[in-house]
Amino acid sequence: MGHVVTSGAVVHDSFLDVGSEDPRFAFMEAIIALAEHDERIVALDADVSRRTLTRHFRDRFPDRFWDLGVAEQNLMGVTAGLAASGRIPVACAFAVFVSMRAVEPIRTSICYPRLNAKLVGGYAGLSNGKDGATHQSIEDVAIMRSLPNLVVLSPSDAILADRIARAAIAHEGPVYVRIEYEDTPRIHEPDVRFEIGRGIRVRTGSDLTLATYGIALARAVEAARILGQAGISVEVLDMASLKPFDEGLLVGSTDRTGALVTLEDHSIVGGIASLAAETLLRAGRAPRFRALGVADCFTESGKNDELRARFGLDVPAIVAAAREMLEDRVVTDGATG
Amino acid sequence: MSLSAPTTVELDRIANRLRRDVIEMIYRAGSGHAGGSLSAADIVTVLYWSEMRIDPQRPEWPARDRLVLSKGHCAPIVYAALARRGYFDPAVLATFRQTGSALQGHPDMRRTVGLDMTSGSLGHGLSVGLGMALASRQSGIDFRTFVLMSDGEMQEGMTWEAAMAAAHFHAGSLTVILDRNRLQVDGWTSEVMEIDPISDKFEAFGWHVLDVEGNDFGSLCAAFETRRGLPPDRPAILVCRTTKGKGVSFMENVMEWHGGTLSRELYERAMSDLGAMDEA
Repeated sequence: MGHVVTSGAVVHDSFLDVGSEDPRFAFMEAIIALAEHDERIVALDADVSRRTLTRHFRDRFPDRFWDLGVAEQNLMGVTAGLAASGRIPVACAFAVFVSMRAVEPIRTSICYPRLNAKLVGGYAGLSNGKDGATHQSIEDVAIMRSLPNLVVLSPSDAILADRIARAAIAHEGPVYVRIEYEDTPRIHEPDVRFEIGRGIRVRTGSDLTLATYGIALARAVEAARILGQAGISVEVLDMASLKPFDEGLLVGSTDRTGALVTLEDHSIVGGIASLAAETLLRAGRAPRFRALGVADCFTESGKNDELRARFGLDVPAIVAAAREMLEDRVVTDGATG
Repeated sequence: MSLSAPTTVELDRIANRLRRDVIEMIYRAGSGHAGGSLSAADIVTVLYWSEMRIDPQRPEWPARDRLVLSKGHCAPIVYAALARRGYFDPAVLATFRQTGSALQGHPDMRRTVGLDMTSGSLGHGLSVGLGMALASRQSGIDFRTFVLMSDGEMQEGMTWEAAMAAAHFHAGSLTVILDRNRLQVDGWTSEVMEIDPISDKFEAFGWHVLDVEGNDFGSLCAAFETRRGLPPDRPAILVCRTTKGKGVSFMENVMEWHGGTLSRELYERAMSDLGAMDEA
């Protein structure tokens, strides 16, 4: 069932191999719905409007959309000027270019003056497998979360993409949303609530905390199910608000489970592995800890899921990491007991 | 609100006042960018006392004309203008670059009343100004946007991304004022990285281009008047020939006065130069 974005315009086209659960559709549907009632909301793109779906925003609001061409720095500078003049710009491009090519205009002309701009990074993580390392965004969380005033959000499914779009627009200040453009199952309940600064406990458990964000959540939930069959009780956290980060949720969970695995389609440098380590050390906690992420190396071309297997981010890798960690605990407990 | 049109003599007197403020600020701070502040002093004076539709009592007025100081290192001249135009107490100028001051080394719109944009990283300003111009068109709130740029930042790639886009979007309410003082940190622009023929480049990008004597009030005022009458189908650039360090004899056309510290002796010489000019 294709998502209808505006007035009968079906987003699916044969050129895009996307399914009904790709979070970008729900995100753009929400932005357009909000824009119907708030003429301050405008959109910009950098020659990728077919992919980011700002094309539908353009079709609905032709006077409120600008395609800046292949010029991400100018995209962010123009976004800053619009925001400084009372507009609420939603600037969309690919995450790898938003977070790196355009980072200094974002830092100095958007975050420093705390302008009310929404920056959307598409094809985040490994969701653009075939294009290879140049187009995969495995550093954006690390980079963007280092910028003061910037909120960093990551939807894990279509339902949360809708909530995050609404939260981003409602927030007065700069927001970065990284979106993976890939079919993913709906994990969250249709009435799930999202709040900036809050994570979501997707599944409760007592032996291990599995903390993730983005569409890796589906793999985390599947791994938890498999581990559950083996008698290992896994708590799954969707840390969709990467900044501000829900420290209380993470610390509370690991206090109960005593073990943590972080999972991310991102470098292990600066993403949730770093966030968790910083959070737990600051809180004086030292649970057992394994970080699953791209191990500080460049990626390559391939099918998205094959790359996840190659870089140790698939369900078997999660299950293996959890088992290894908990077996180790049993052995240690036995040795000291 | 605009003032009743000041004479060029009045503008000259104001500009001299602002130049003295700049020297005073940089002397007290022990650092700051004198050369480009002085070259742009006459431009800034015309903008704030003659050209821009502004109201210092209503700094957030949505329909005010905007200035983006893209050459943000020349903050002192704009701070002086804002203070003397009534946005804040001129006594605040003495705090320039001090810890906790409203007057940062480069402009911070969240700290300084009257600033329309934060700036300081060269090459951002034209993009930001274009965004403001598009916001005016989309919102229906009629205002003009001026972007004051240095010749050095013509070397930034982002400037040309924005130049292309401004013409593409027919940003007729957008005006760049280029402070063409020909000097940058490492030397003459012609030696470091030639930007000429800069007028031809902007014309080729689809802009209106006006040649202006940027330290001459007659030429400046005439240029702004001409600009107002140009067809609103494209952005315009005023290429203003200026002298870096204008008004202070030992600073004029001297690269080393891009930024730096003033000794007591040089401070007094500079103020003497400006005082003599004031009385002339």
